Amino acid sequence: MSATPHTVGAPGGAPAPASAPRRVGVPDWVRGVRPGVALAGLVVAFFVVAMIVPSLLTNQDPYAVNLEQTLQSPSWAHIMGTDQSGRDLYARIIYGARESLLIGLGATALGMGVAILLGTLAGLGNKWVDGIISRGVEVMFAFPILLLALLFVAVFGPSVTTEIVAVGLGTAPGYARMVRGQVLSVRDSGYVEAARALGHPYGQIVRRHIFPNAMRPLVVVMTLGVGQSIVWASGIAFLGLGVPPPSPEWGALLNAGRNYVTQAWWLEVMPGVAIVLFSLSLTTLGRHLQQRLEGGVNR
Amino acid sequence: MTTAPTPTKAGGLRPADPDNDLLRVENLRVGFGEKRDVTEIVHGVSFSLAPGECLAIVGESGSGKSVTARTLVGLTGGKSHVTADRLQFGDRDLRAFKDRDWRGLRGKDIGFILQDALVSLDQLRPVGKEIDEALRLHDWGSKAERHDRVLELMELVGIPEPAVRAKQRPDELSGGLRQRALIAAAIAMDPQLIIADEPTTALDMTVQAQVLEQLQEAKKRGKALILISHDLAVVSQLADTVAVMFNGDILEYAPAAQLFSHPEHPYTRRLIEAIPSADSRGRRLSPVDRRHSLGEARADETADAPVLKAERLFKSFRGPDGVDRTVVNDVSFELRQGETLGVVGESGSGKTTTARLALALLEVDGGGITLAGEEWSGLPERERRKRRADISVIYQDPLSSFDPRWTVEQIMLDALGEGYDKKIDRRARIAELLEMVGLEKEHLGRRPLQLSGGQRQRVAIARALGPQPRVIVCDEPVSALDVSIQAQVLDLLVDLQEELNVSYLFISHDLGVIHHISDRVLVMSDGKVVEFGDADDVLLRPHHPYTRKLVASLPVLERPEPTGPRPFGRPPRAAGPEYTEEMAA
Repeated sequence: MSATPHTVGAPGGAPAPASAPRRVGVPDWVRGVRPGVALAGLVVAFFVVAMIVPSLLTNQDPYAVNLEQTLQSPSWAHIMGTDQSGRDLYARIIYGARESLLIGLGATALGMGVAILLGTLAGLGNKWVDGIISRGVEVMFAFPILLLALLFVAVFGPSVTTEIVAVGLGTAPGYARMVRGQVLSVRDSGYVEAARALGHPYGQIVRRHIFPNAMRPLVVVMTLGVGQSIVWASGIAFLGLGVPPPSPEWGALLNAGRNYVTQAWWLEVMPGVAIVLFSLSLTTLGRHLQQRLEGGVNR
Repeated sequence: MTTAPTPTKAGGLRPADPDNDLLRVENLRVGFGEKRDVTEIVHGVSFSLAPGECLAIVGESGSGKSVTARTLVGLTGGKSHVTADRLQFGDRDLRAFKDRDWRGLRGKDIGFILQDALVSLDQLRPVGKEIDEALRLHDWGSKAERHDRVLELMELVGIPEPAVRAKQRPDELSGGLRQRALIAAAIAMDPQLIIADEPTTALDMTVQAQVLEQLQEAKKRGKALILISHDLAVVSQLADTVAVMFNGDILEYAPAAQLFSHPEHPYTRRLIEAIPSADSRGRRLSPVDRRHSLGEARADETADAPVLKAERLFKSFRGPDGVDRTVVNDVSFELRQGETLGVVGESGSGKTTTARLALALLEVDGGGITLAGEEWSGLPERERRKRRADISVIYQDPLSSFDPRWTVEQIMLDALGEGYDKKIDRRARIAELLEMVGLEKEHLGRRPLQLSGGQRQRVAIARALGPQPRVIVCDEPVSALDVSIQAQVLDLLVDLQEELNVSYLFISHDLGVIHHISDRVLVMSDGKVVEFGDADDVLLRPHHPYTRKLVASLPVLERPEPTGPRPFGRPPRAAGPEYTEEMAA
């Protein structure tokens, strides 16, 4: 599974020796990292810095209107060009990272939170609880996320919070099913039965065995989910249901650039590239983490 | 360490016969890995085989027996390195074979029967199609001819109602029928050589007997047969010649009769010694000496009363079709203090359900169980929890019974629970338990995945002993282990029982194991008890027809005469690499 040579054991399941010859100076976890994963790590680190201290990465003001420099194509002065109000697009993307990432993280956290609650209840509950929750989740599944977003914007008005709630609730049913499946498989596992046979109280078994083991694969799903949520949020914003201007949130940038797409391609392409690059990197990291964690168990 | 015995050297073997031999292998080496980083798994083995002969390759996991077999059909995979002085099948040199050549050979000239019929057959395809494919790939006959041939083959391997069965998918067939379908596919093109890799390992005893019979038939038809197995008793039914492999070397290569009656190599002796059976009762199976001071027997005031008593148990489950199936049907038994009650039966006979009822992990539908003379099955779980320390369990697959995140130490701390408040006490107790089961302190920090199969089962035993139970339910505790590891674990269980006076409810499908360890035996079939009594009475003088059938299907091995009290004083060594006890540890 993993490419590290010392995991190759004898066939027939003899465990690999605990200590293996390793090269001096290079820590073990660094050697297994592929270049693509390292690059993805750099991209994510870049945007995380942009989220926390954007001024480190640009000295331009993302909100400064300069009517003499509208719709400039990329140049040394404005490496990603300027928009219809002459604002520097690079600065706007950097400053927009905060809201975009917040929406991604917030939506995933909300979706996961709801999913863990519902999934665990359904997995551990009796036939009735499971039936009611599972049917409810199926009904939620039938709602397109965009329709849900429309509903929320209509009721609460467009804002970051609305977007988080819309995307979070929209993605929750998928996660909830996953959680329920995990809980079910752990609940029926040999070690839970062994714990019952030892006479441990049920609450303790849930706390010590079922919950941690069921949640373990979700760590990876979450990293994948953040990228996904950002893409969803951008889609919602592109339709004009997201954060209102002059916010530099990435989806809002896409929406704003829509009218100028024939004159200024960079207004669509640059935020689009940022979204793709960031979610792709997160996905790559998530997959890597997945291999690491599952490989780690097999080792 | 690489001088493999040649067929002529090992005494009594007929000399290699270039005119008649179907298969000749000399100094075969197989390694895996990339470029310079190649690990050699098979270190130069040699054997030959004539039509109508059966060669058995015997060994434990990791011995390289399956790799050797796969080499003969070119299925070692991309990262393998195969070299040999000779690798000849008929007049063809297999060393020069390319993928294309192998595809022409496999199925047509060499049939390969894989171990696990359930995963080796396509779940979505009727078995008739699967067998047909073997013919179609080699352009055999027209569609109608192939159809007739498929039915003929299925008839040949003893599948009843072939026309009906051919249209069924693997999951609609029993394990025995699936395995026979695989055999039918393997012999479809009437290959001259059949290689069977553990063909009966996952099968029930009576089904195993039927499959072995099929292979015997093929041999009678003049086919050459290579049988790969860890089970010497199975091998003794079929083999003309036996090669014993260990760590990639053939340690002993001799005619079957000679190998079983006068094994030369100590490892062969040890393998034969390790097989539990009626004769091995009261004798140690492994050469490891008994540990002393295993702990104190529990002082017991109720020595004569049954410690676990089940009366007229009933349990039924609702199937997916909505019909109730009675899985445990009127089962009663008694288990006395310090006694082992063996429960034997084939898969689906209800023995595991009976075990779970005894553990009160399932509620009974009817009847009742008392534990140490007090009500057990009828109590609410809240009440039972306090007394669960009295009865514990060892599972077949220890790995799945441990939380994968936990180290051995965490597993043990968890098992000791509240009875030991201070951590100091618990650590002392854990050290004591580990010593009882023969594990070292260094194992404490490992996770189950980092332990070998035998060590895992020892941890499971230590965990079961932790709460100082009166009864341990052992559900197939040695079925997943190699013969020599099985021997050690069985010895350990016997030792612990003598020291601690604990009772075992011992469940197994293996009559030999059951006979070795049990004082009394309960034979189950279709949820019912068909026979119950003293182990020797039931297994040596069975009354019920089902027990008779079961006993008759057990492959029995002719044992060598015991040589002295403990036969491991290094008898004259056979040709072959140095074998030491440490290598097996």
